[in-house]
Formats: sequence, structure tokens, C-alpha cells
Amino acid sequence: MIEVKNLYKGYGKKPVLKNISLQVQKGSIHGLIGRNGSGKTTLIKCLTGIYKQDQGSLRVCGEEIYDNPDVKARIGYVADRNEYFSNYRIYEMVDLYEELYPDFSRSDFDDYNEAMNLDDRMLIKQLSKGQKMRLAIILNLSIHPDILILDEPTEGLDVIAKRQVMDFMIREVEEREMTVFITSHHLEELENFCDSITMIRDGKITGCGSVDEMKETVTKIQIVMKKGLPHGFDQWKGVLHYSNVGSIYTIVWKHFDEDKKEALRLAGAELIEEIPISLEEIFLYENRGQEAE
Amino acid sequence: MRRFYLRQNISILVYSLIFAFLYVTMIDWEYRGERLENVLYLVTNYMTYLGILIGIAGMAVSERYFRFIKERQEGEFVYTMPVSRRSLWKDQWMMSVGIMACSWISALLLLYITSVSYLKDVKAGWMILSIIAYLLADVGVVTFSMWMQTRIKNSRKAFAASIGTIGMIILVLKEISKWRILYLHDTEIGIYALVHNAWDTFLYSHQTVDEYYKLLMQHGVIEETKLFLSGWQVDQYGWIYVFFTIIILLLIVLMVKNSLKNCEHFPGIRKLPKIYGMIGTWMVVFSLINEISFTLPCFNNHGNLLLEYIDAVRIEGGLVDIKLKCFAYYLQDGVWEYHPQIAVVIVVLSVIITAICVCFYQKRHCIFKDKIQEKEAKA
Repeated sequence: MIEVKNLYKGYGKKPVLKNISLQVQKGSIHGLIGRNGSGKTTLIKCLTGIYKQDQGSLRVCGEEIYDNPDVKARIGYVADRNEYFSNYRIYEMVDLYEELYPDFSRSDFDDYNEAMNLDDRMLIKQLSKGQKMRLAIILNLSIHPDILILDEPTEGLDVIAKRQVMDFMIREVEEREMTVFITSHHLEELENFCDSITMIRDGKITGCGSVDEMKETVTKIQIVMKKGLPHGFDQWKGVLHYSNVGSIYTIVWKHFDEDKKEALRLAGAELIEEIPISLEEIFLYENRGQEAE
Repeated sequence: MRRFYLRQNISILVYSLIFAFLYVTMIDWEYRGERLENVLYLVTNYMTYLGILIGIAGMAVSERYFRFIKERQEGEFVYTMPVSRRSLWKDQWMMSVGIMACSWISALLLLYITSVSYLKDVKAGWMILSIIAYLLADVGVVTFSMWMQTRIKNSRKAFAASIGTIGMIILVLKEISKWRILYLHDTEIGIYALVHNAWDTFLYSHQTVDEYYKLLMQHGVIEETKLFLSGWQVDQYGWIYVFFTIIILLLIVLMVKNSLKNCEHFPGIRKLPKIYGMIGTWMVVFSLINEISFTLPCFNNHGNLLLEYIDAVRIEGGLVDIKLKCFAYYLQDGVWEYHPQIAVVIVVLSVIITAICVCFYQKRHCIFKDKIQEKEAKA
């Protein structure tokens, strides 16, 4: 559904995205995570056809999206700040969407709005940040998009609205095989919601795959080392982070395998135990590790 | 998007109608001239200013529209919608042209309704041709301003650049006329006067031009003051009209074509080639040097040079009331000397100063760029 190959994009001479390649399958939920300024929003703006890539290919629904109204009619986009026409009322925005998107369903909008509880006579400029976000989400769900692209959609939403929005999206994915491409800084939400994740840092992809695959590449272990860690341990390949309480050490390790386990044993580790790691921890230690490099 | 465009643009129509109404109320209805003097009075009073107002309203509304679609957040929302970039420009342009046409038609109707008896001598055909000329001029100006919007990122700067360019062209034409007349020929009609007169002939109806010429003769303005009037434009009215129509249409087609190509880069823009900036700088520098040269003590004998274009109105008191503006430029009998060397010095000096300005700008631009890159590298 989304196919990006060797994409480069910069502002002026400053490169923002460097050699980005990724694929998102139809009917899947794909998350994009990265620090502020890592290039997430720029990538999303390329995917939605706002910007044209400088190099590389970008195909959405099998076609180039830049300046392609036919493809854009099949894509919903919820921005981090949804600035609609401020002097419009909600029902006028609904009219506009109905006019522009062939698959827009007013009855679906009304159904969604029943849950979201927005007064359609309100002016856009009267809406709060959360209300604008709710409006953007239900408008874009009502166009029945093949792909829904969301840039930090849960910002400004209360817990109930957040849950409702997630439920709406999951229903659309299940019923219509809608593809979702989402960015968020709430990694625990993405962990439960996404089928696959791409991690981006300084405009480059640093990790990509399903949440389980990502967890397989980074392992968190607990060991008992009475003599302490061997000299120069922090230089060992793949060590992202370690800490200790007494002789119990917690180590986060990239590509941890049997050889490394054996090396630890030889260094005096008495007990080696793998413990669960969250997506947030992976993100945190991956980024810290690379910063240190 | 039709609804959106209509809502964005309806203000052109509203502004234009308000302007038209206000202007009609300003016309001195008590005035009763002889025969077709009424026509001259109405046409010269009514249409020129209305044309300027409708043109400026059109430019202002297109500026407002571009401010919206080029803004970071709001504009980006537009580009996610299933609308092509070309149609974003084209539909707005068509809407502006359509509404300006409606404004002119409504102004004509308003004029007709409010002064049907007053206009009994006016030939409808000529009046309509005149309206078309004004409409073409307005469409040309608005198209130019919309083209500028595809070349300059900041929409307010683009708006200012459009007005500034038109002003600069008028200024430089005047200055070239002065320069040529004062330093190279003593009794010549300037290029500005020529263009201005031909332009007026295009905008005013043939009836107005014809009547005005007769009036000038009748009042003896031509013989008495040895005016260098370009009387040919009365005879060549048709050709002048066709010439300007073709030129404006050609310019409009070129600008539309180029804009449709440029707007594919929205929300970014295709920058103006540097040559435009260089020509603009030269125009300003040349005008300044030329103007300063008249005031230098060594050219004291040219102290009255600013009087070289004197309105016919000032000479012939009888014409003041009807505020005739056509054919107003002429050269008073002068006693000036030829100064071809000064003419050359002014041109050379203006070129040198322009080159220095361009180099200075380039250097400054490079220094800034280096500093920014240094900062980025440090960051």
C-alpha cells in the first residue's frame, strides 16, 4: 500500500530524510517513531503529497501521490495541528468533504459524531485543540480511506476520546482492511496498537519490523556478577545500557545471542535471565546508545 | 472547492460594488456641460478610478487567498485534499476574472440606471468597448499579481512587488522621457507621454477621444501653446485598441501558462531569476540619479525642468472643469542646451552603481549563508 525506496528530502541544502526505504502492507497498522526533529513529519508530508521528494520513489496505492488528486481522494490525513478554514462551521467542512471525496458518507460522519459529540453549528475557530483533532479524525474516517495517515493523533485527546478513536480505527481496519500509518510519542499505545514499527533518527531509519521482531533484536537481561563487570564491558559490541543494584546487573543488549551469553559466563556471570522489554525502553536505549556513539 | 472559492472571492464583488456606489455618489450630477462634454466628464471621472479600485480589490483578494494556501499549516491542509495544484491557481484566477467582469457589468448598469438621461448622448457600443478595455487592464494586473505569487514565497511581499513593479515601470518611463528630452533633444515628445496617451486612447472610448480632441482644437489649446500632441491616436484609435488588446491578451496567456507551471511547486515557489532583481535595481538607481542630476547647481539653468510636462488643464482654464487628462503632456518651449555627455554619464553611473549593489548583495548573501551553515554544523 505504501512503498518508499531510497527517499531523500531536504529543505534548501539541509537534508532531512536520508535514504528512507519502507513498505507498509494493506490492512496493517504501521507506527513511525522518532525524536523531535528526526524527520517524522517531513516523511508524512511526503506520504500525503504535500512535499515532493528530492530523490527516490514514493508510491502510495501503487501510484505517485504528489499532485495526484485520484490517489489523494483515497487517503485520509490527520495532522498534528489541524488548521481547517477558521471561518467555516463544522457542517460546512462536512459539505466540503462531501464535495471533494467521492466515498464520503454523511451518515457515517453522523454516527461517529454521536460518540464525539461535536455541535456541527460551531465555528472551527471556536473549537479547542482536542475538538479539532476529534473533528479531523471523524472527517477522515468518513471518507472511507484506503490509507489513513495520522501525525500524533492522540495529542490533546482525553482518555475516553482516545479509546473511542482507537476503536473506530481498529473497526475500519478489520472491516475494510484500511491501512493505518501513525506517529506518536506515546510508545506504549503504539506497542499495543501497531503491527509493525519504523524507528527513525536524524532522517535515517534505525529499525524496522513488527513489534515482536524489534523486541527480538534488543534483549534486556539480568545477571548476577559478584566480581563486578569485566574491565571495558561498555565497549562490548551491542551493549546499549547497563545498570546495577549491588551485584545484580541489568543490561540492554542489541543482537544478544548464545556467544555473548557464553562470554558473560566466562566473565563470571552466575545467573543470566532474560526479562521483558517494552517498546519505549527499546526506543530509549537505541537512541541513547547512538547518541553516545 | 467551488463553494470555497466563491466564499473566498465574493468579497471582490462586494468591494467593487461598494466602490462603484461610492464613486457614483461622488460624481457631480449638477454639472451640465455642452453636448458630449458630459460623456468626457463621466468617462474620465468615473471609469479610471473605478478601474483602479476594482483592480486593487482583485489583487488584494488574490493576495489573501495565496496567504492562505501558502501558509505553513493552513496551506498544507489544502495540498492534502484531492485537488491538483494547477486547479488551485486556475480556479482562483477564473473566479477573480469572472467576478471582476461582474463588477464591471454591474458598474455599467449602475451608471446607466442612475444617469440614463444624462448619458443620452453616449453610444453604447463605444462605452462597452471601453469597459472591455478596462476589464482587460484589470485582468492583466491581477494575473500579473497572481503570477508574482508563484515566484515570491511571502504573499505580502509578492503583493507589494506587483504594485512596486507597476510603479517602477511608470517611474522609469517618465525618467527615460526626461533624460532623453532634457539631455538629448529639446523639443521631443517623451516615451512616457507617448505610451500614456496611447494607453488613454485604449481605455477611453473612441467617442471620448474624438470629442476631447475637438474640444482641444475648439479651445485653441493646440495652436496657442504649441502642444506636441499626438493627434494620430484619434485617427488610429482602432489600431491602438487592437494593439493593446493583443499585447494584454498575449501577456495574460504567457503569465497564466507560466503560473500553471510554477504552481506545481506549491507550497514552495520557483524563485525569480536574478536578472529581474538586477533590472529592478537599475530602474531605481537610474531614476534616482536622473532626478538628482536635475537639481545639481551646475544644471541651474534647468531648474524649471520639472515643468516639462504640464497638464493642458493648467494652460486652458476652460478645460479645468471637465478634467481632461488625455493628451496632456507636452514640452514647453525650452532654452536648454544639449548635454549628450551628461546623458552618457548618467547611464554609465547607474550601471556601475547597480553592479556594486548586486555584488554587495551577493557578498552579504554568501556571508549570511556561510554563517547559517556554520551554526548548523555547530548544532
